[in-house]
Amino acid sequence: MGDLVTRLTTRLLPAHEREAVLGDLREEGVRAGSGASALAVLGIVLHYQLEGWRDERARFGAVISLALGFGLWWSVTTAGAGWGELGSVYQDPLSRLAIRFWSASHLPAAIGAGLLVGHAPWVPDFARPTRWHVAGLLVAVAGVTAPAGGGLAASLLLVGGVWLGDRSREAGPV
Amino acid sequence: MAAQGLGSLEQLVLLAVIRLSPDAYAVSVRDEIRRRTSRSISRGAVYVTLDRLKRKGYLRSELGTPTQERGGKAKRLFMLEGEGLAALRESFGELRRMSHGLEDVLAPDALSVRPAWATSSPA
Repeated sequence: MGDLVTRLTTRLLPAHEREAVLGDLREEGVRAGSGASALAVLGIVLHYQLEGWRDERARFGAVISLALGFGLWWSVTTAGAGWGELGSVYQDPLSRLAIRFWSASHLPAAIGAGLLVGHAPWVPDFARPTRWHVAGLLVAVAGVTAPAGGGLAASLLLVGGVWLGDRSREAGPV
Repeated sequence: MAAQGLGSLEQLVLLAVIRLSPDAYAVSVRDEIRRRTSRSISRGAVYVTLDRLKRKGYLRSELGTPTQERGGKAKRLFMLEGEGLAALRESFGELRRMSHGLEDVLAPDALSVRPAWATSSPA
């Protein structure tokens, strides 16, 4: 159990620190895979999670991401509200497809907000955990404001969008 | 480039790196600070402070040789950069200028002495 927790928490450390941290703990006599090892890594992870909020520029970037992510979610879901009622008015397939898409606007809104927060180039690399903190807040918003039954799908798409945005930022311009 | 201000833990970590060089890494830095100041600092605080100082350009790091004692994992060794030394000098200069003339108050054996400003009664 401790080994699994250690492996999972180690994944939350910056990649360049993982090997050194595990070696340091071993040198200090913390047995690898033990509960103590998992707790020690978790303690270090928490410091890295908070580091982004200590820096003024990173904090500002996270707040901007939250505002833009929320703005995108709100504007797209608001724009899509009421489209479902038009389904009986337009009969051609293309219009019906567009109406079906927009009547589930919380789904593209979740993907868009996730990509925006995950990619946000104004958040410095060392403050990467703040992207996920912002995503957590947006997931809570999506869970509460998405139409009945759509909260889970929106939350999953949002998290997927953040992951994809983060990966594309790491990969750099194509 | 103007040096960014140093926090007290950042000062301690930079001083420890200078003392321990060329074997300054998270464990030795933490031990050195604990040994010299009796301050117990969490592992995480040392890692993020070393990382922050590197980001500011005050330290550079490189991986050491993996050893059996560390389960085949390498140490991340830290070295002071010129910018780091300049920041440390500036920081100490500020402290010296601010403490100038207060030696009587700040001396360890003057702890029980009440300074003049503390003994004056209100008008």
